[in-house]
Amino acid sequence: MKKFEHELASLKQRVMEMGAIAESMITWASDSLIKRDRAIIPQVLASEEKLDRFQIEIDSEAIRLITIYTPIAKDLRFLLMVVRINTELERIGDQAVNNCEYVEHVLSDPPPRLLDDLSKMTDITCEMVHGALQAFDLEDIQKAQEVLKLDDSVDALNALTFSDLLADRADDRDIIKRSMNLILLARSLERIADHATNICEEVVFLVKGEDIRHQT
Amino acid sequence: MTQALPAGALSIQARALSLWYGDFQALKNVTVDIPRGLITGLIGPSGCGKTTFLRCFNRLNERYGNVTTTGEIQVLGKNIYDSDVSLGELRKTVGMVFQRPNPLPVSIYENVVFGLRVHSGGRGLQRSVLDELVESALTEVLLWSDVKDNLGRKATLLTLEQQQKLCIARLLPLKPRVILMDEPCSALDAEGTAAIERLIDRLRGKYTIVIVTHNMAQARRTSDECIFMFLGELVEHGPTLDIFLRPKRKETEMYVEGRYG
Repeated sequence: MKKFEHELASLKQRVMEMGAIAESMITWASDSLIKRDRAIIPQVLASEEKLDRFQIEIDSEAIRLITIYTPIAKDLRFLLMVVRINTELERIGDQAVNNCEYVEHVLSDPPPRLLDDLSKMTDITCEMVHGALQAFDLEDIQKAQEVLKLDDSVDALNALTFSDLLADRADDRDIIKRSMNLILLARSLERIADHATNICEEVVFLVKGEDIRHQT
Repeated sequence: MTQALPAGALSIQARALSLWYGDFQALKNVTVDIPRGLITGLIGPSGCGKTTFLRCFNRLNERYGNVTTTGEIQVLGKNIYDSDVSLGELRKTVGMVFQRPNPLPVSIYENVVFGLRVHSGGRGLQRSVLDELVESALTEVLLWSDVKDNLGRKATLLTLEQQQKLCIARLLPLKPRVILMDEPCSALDAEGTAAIERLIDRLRGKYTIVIVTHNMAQARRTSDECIFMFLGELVEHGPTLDIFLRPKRKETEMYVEGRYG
């Protein structure tokens, strides 16, 4: 079965490569807002195509391995997990593209007032995605649990950002538009954090065979 | 060492092949193209005609007296039923490995060079040339390191896995283009089976391999393409992944799902 093991390792490597692209996409989308630099946005859009190709290639390879080797136990869990993680990463990429759209709108306007919570949210979300991929790579449950704990803080920051932006003037259309885009951006980051959470839950399933989804 | 073969070319082409054992029709109008350099698995329930079909490619069925064949088989572009075809030459080009390893009761060395001695028609072959061929063949089948210090040992004293590797090795000095394997692992334990499967994988690209197997997992693991046969007919032929993931014919689907056979 050495060939099978080698093929599983190659597939994992492909997932990690896909993950690295997704991670960069979030970072670039955030950088475009922080640095107020539109030039970064095309990088994100170009990467989405790569991510889509990865998704199809990884799915097809996982299906091939399941068909050819009829895996059981951990090998089966691994392949099921790869298919699910693949979807999570593709959705992270979609959210990064959405973020660019919101950032584009925000960049058309004068710089918004300092939004500490949104900035913190960005940092934590990026940390969560990075940590989720690390947990997957090392099959590290402890790392996965650490990332899972961060999700609550992202949810809380999302709520704070929302209420903070609602406090802005409601009679100025430009401010409303900008606030809406920033709220959508925060919402998107919160979704990305959820995808990272899902990846970590998959890692727990891989290592322990235990399904911890929907337990809180 | 044999060079990798060009992709896309065909090695074996069967056209409207039918075969009878007396009154019993074992193969019914089989037409198929087998690609060069790939591993093709023949699968199907017992009695479906897969071993009979395999034995057509080197005309081994003709050893039985009551066999009638119609249709055509081309191996590397030559119809093997043409009157000018020499069976000896055909079987040099199309080697065969059987269910149970069948080394000759002579030394390991003599087993490997036996075919060459037979086909050289008694002409002397230089010992140094034979030595090189023996080392090369045994290396190619991953047996050299196990036996290099005991080449004079009787081959029948080897383990079954080693014997089967030797049976493959002894084909190689004759420079076959096609290797037929009739359930080559059925006499072996799990470890021996894994070793022979690794060897088959290693031979991919260098030879056209056609393998009959009852073991569906083995067919999935080892072959690039599969041919599913049922009641003497070829039901479906395609890439192994397609046969096991999205078979086109209901009969194939039911067989690969384990509903019968």
